[in-house]
Amino acid sequence: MLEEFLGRELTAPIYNKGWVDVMIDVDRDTNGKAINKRLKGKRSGGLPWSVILDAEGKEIVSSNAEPDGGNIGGPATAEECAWFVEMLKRSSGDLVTSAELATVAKDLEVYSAPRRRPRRR
Amino acid sequence: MKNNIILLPLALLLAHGVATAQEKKADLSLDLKKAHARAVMHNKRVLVALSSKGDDFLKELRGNRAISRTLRYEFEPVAMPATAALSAWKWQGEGSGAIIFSASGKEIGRFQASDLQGKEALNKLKPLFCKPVDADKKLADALVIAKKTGRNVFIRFDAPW
Repeated sequence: MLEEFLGRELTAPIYNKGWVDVMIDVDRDTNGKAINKRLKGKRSGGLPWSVILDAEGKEIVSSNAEPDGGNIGGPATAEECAWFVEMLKRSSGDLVTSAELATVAKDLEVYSAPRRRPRRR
Repeated sequence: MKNNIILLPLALLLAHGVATAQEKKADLSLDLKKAHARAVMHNKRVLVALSSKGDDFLKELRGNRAISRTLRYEFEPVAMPATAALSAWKWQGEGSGAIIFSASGKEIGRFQASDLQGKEALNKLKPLFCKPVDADKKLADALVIAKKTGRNVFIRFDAPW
């Protein structure tokens, strides 16, 4: 789901401008599980799990949303989407403008809204 | 005039038929393109399942317990009518079967439906699996690119299941 979103026409050029994309398959890639364990530590949540590092390998932000720390996985709900956009904001540096971030946020809403399950009452 | 009126709905119907066939062809091409893109990203092969005479060969493959997991883990499957492969890949006859491609689009294997039955299917497909990629190397390479380009690294951990 996240991969499909990141490949969308509006989002992909902005995403590729600001971030180097790495997909690690914890089941099939050699050392995939070990890297996942090393970077995630004791934080909660299963897969998908994401983390953004600077060029030195230092963590900037992860998919464990603040302040509660739950993993947003592939963002779908309004709250998850908001944290995803926050992840991008915190790690966009000077390469991506706030207008471009707004474009991604809008595109995420367009992509996610039809996929949201109706809330149970 | 009367003939023209009679022929008009037929012409519209034929035009609709042509448009639909073209749309289907475009859809298949897009499906294949997407499968290749996913195969590059996930270090997999592309399996084009060719169906004939109302069969659904991809469904049949997925129903084979010997390879259902393998299909999910090692291949990006695409379903197509066997007729679509006749000229594109010189598929012999009109029977069901499968053609396997590397992520870059090079054909690396082809099988008739009878080759991919039961446990034998796994023996046939196994030699075509991609070699595993080292995640440490992936990450190290990404950090080098990040340093060169001033970007940060977005790592997505996932699994085929």
